[in-house]
Amino acid sequence: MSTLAPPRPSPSPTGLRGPARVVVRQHRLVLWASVAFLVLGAAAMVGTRLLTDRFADQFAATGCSIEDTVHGCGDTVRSYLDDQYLLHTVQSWAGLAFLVLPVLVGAFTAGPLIARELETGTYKLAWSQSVTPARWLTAKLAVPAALLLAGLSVLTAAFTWARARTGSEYSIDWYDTPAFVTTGAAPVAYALLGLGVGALIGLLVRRTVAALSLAALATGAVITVLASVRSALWPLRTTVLGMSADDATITLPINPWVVRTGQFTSGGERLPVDVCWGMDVEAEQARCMADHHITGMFIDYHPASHFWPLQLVETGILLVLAALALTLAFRLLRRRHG
Amino acid sequence: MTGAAIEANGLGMTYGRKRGWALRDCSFRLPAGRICALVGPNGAGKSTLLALAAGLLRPTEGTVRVLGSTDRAEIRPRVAYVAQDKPLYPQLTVADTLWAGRELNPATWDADAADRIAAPLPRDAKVRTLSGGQRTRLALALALAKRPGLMLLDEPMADLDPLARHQLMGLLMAEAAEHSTTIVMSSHILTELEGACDYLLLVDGGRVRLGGESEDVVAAHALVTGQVRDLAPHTVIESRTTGRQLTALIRPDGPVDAAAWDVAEPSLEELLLAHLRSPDAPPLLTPSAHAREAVAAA
Amino acid sequence: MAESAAVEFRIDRRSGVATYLQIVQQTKQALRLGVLEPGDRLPTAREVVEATAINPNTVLKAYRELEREGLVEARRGLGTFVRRTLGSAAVTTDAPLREELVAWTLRARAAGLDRDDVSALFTAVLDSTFKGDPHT
Repeated sequence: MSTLAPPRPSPSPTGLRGPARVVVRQHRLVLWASVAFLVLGAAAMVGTRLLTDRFADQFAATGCSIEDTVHGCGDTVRSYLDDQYLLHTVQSWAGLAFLVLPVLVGAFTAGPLIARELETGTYKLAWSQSVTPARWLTAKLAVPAALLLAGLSVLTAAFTWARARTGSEYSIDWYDTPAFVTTGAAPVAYALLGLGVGALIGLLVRRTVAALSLAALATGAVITVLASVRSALWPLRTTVLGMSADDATITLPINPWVVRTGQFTSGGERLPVDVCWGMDVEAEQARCMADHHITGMFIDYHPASHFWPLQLVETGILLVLAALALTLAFRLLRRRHG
Repeated sequence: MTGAAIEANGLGMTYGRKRGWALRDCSFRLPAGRICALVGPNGAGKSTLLALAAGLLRPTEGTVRVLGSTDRAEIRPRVAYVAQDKPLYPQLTVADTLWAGRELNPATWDADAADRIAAPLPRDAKVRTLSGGQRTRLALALALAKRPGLMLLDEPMADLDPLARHQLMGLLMAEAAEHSTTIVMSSHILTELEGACDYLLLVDGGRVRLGGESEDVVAAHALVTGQVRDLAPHTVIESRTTGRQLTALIRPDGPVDAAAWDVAEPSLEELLLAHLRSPDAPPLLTPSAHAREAVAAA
Repeated sequence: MAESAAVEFRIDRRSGVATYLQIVQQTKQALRLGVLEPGDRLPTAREVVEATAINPNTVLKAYRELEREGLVEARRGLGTFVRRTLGSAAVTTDAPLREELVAWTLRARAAGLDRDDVSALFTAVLDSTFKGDPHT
């Protein structure tokens, strides 16, 4: 074997290596800051879990209990609950940070990553090297996508582990928004949505500040809309409470997500729960209900077992939207610049 | 016959219906190995033409064949393009920029050329701190180290002091001499390019009005002075009457009557100015500048 | 790299003389004055264009012209070399003709002619004397 032959860089099968490395060099600061942010976030999650454990152990050692009020335990219980509440607050904010992240990803992708190149004309430099515009965009998106995939996997795992602490006195309910956006593949899907929306808006708007703002708004809008329609993403269950005494008990599973309550008429029509509220006299109220032919109450709810179907549908919608935005972005690039 | 560096057929480009045509119905051929001056007034379509040839824009109509191919992915590694504003990443250093050039052109990168051309530049200076001349030098280093068959330079010497202009033009010519690179340089100031270029494309109002070897284009015209009379059958580009005297730039059709006219060869600049002042003068492409496909189709 | 070239060219864009002709004339002038001698290497096209920022094809055209006249020869891969000197010894610095011209120029100055007057007079005489001769 000859040792004289100059070492040739091995060509990457994706052809992405060169452009991707250039993207990393260009955005070193932001990428390092993101890594630091993700590591700090994961560390904070692990920290809350460990602290929760420690506070619980210390509390158990005092012999006091929250349920049975024992004389002399008042301050201990109060201070324990304060500590737990503080940790809960930290976790809730962390959950909200998961919602802010895709907005930031969208803004960064649209503004500094893409529109700035189009605005300042540096795309002409990039595209006049041996790299097609499509490969350029692929590299631009692949670098943050890889970082987000890796970082969010770790962060999601850390958050889930921190939340899973049983016996914590305050917890995020399964139907709260932070629960949906921090679990499973949802964080990655939200980040990819930000990336897709950012890419499309960056290419369309071509002005850094405008693209950045618009992408943040658009990503935020998608998040808001999804949160408001979330309960409809899976069929609701309904339980009914009749007026007659024998079926006047409601059977609901533990910890349900009650979406809607109301009254129904003999004709099957649904009425708001408060139709006959505010009547002073009971007889008056009875007459009101008779007038409306109200025969019972209903409750629309999701049982806790609906969490995963709901969550998977939401993740699916996000991934479809992200894919749609990315397809449009690449098509736009190809049509304009070939 | 040598190959064509650029061959345009019915090339047209519009940036949107309302904005009209930046370039329309352009057909011409630039033989390989030439150093071509792409001249014309501001807004004539020079930049559009270069961006189309560089594959940065997709033509609205027609085709542009570069180095014998219309496959942009195949052309891209063989063409270098420096846009008018010399775009570079301001946050990268000179060394980083050259490193990026190598990363983005792995197949063709000539690191020695890059280092030689960029040698006078401070390696660790951020691009945003460089002067205009230094930026141009760095942009040319990137373009030349790519070892392209065709270089497309949009106003490369604008904003440079005369010394830097002379130096960089010398550098370009030296590289072209060594590697027989085809170069197209645009400018709205002809004198910037006159000594360096042996081929000429005059673009005006989105159309190619003159094309061919500079010498041939000049030789196809004559500056005549004499008593006012009909100049038929020659094509008159521009004429001016002062008293009984007529001065005209013509394209002679057959010999000019030397007894009746004082005949002189126009300078390239006179020629270009006369054409710019007479937008209705018919275009002239010398045989080497005729698009072959168009000829075949006709 | 071979030894450095023996001459360098100055291109005057405003002279109105074609660039390649300026190179041909300057080479001949150098040959007449003995600045260039047989065996000397002319600068390569790359060297010329790097210093003058002119078109490389122009240099090659000038060198082809000189080669056609038998003054230089291109040796593949080495460069372009001078084959023979040009003209009479009359042009060299100590020739009698030059001395006469020096003496005449001094007389002209003494008579009150300035540089431009002398140059105009000389050119006029030159033009009328060589009228009809083939142009170089």
